[in-house]
Amino acid sequence: MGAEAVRIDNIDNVGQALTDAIKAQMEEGKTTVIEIMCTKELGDPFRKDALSTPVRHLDKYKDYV
Amino acid sequence: MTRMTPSEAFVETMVANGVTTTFGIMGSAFMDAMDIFAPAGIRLIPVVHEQGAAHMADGYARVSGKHGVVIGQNGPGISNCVTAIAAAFWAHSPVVIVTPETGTMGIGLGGFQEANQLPMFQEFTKYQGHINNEHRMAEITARCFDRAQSEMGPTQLNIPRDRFYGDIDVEIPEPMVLDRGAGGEKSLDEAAELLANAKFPVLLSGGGVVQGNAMAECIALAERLGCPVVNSYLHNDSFPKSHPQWCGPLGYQGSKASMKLIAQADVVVALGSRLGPFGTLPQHGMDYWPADAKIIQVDADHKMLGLVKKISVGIHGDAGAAATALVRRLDGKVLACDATRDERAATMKAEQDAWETELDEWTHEKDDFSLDMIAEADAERAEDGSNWLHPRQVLRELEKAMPARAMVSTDIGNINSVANSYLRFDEPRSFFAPMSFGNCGYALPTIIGAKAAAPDRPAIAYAGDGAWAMSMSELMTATRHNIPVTAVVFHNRQ
Repeated sequence: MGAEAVRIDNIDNVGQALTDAIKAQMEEGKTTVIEIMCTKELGDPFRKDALSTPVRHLDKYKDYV
Repeated sequence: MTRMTPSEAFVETMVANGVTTTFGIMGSAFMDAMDIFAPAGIRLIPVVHEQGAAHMADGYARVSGKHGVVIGQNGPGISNCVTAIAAAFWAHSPVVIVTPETGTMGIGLGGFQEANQLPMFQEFTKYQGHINNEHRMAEITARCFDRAQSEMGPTQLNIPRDRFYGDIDVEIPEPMVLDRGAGGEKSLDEAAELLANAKFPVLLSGGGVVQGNAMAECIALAERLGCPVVNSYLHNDSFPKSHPQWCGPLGYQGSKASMKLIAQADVVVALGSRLGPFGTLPQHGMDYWPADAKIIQVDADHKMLGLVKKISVGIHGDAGAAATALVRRLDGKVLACDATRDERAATMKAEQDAWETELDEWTHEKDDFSLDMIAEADAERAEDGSNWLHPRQVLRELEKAMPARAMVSTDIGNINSVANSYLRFDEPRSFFAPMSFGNCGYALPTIIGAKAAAPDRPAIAYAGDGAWAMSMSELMTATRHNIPVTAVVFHNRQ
């Protein structure tokens, strides 16, 4: 489709990938997708305010808490 | 009066409002008008999906302060825009959505691409104009453009498709630009009195500072008080990061420095903020909102005053004009907080430094789930050599490499939300998020719209792989129409 793409899986290359992509954007008019491979760790629950301790009244759902 | 067709009146009214760029997908419903966009100096940027077009109009409006215009084919082309218009509504963006509709002789008969197009936008627009008669094309079009600015939000212009045709005698209205003021004298006097007696004031800088082009006025008020300045949630571009009084954003994954400082406040000036409920929730285990502090709230929409938080003084005014009026009232006075200026500056500096050190050292999450996920990634590495990065480390590295004058849009998702503390700006109109509507698929099209408005600024979109997949097709819009952007996709396979 005409875009550039780069995959990053080394922390030392993250900043340079952004710098290179911005240079390509500003000087050559190129669109770049930087794919950064990340772990599945999560920040603090997003809607902690909306979460409460689960209650199940029906036996079929008892284990799903 | 000049003899025109309604199509000409519609296009000429857009020209009178300075429209040069529109986003959408062409369709028979408005082709008669579209065919004269080019000679009128209006570019229609064709997109992949109309939701993208409306996000682009939003991004365009937020960067430029001008109207963002989106247009599409009646029926599905219009219903596809609903989510993006809702996002623009919560961003207070002056977007005009033009919705050509089934012709008047077919309405209600169940024809092709027919839908009742006003109710679907009712909740997310400030004004809905409907061309009930082609002689009113210029009048109602002009009103939609005026209200988008004066009411600070999207408006809809609904045009039954047969109303583009005919002969009318018309005068194109001049745009009506609202001259906003500082607010009522009584509320300003009361606010100045509270500030004069405050021992530990804190300034909360909100979206109204960005949208009202009031950064200089906000800085002047902050400097007079010598107080910490915190950004309201997702308005990280409402105070310059390089200013010594900048403490960072509140809200989800925001700055602990800001939270600890505002918790000590006896008076808070919320400048241009509706104090939205989500943006002040407890965070990092801290319920930091100063429940006993006196709150001075300034908002250009009086309906926001005291809506969410209990306030002491509500000022219905423009953020910049109100800040200037307050500085004038404090001029020549000795404030209660003047005696502790150096001491408060030291407190502020200590919190800022502590938070930056914590961010440097906070390389990964430490809860049980995250530690399991890190162990899983380590096992994969041992097995196949793949390498998975900690999101926080990535966000810090991106922050360090961020170019000057960058515009950044963020999508919805965990890593994008964690990005809050790593996104800081020196220039207003730099940071775009889907705000309270929180829809996925936002970041890429919005930054394309922003880049169309400001081609001289670097444009960067952050998205997780899930949200990215919802609108990645707009890459074709960027490449086909020479609107280059940079997309950072956090691929965590979930």
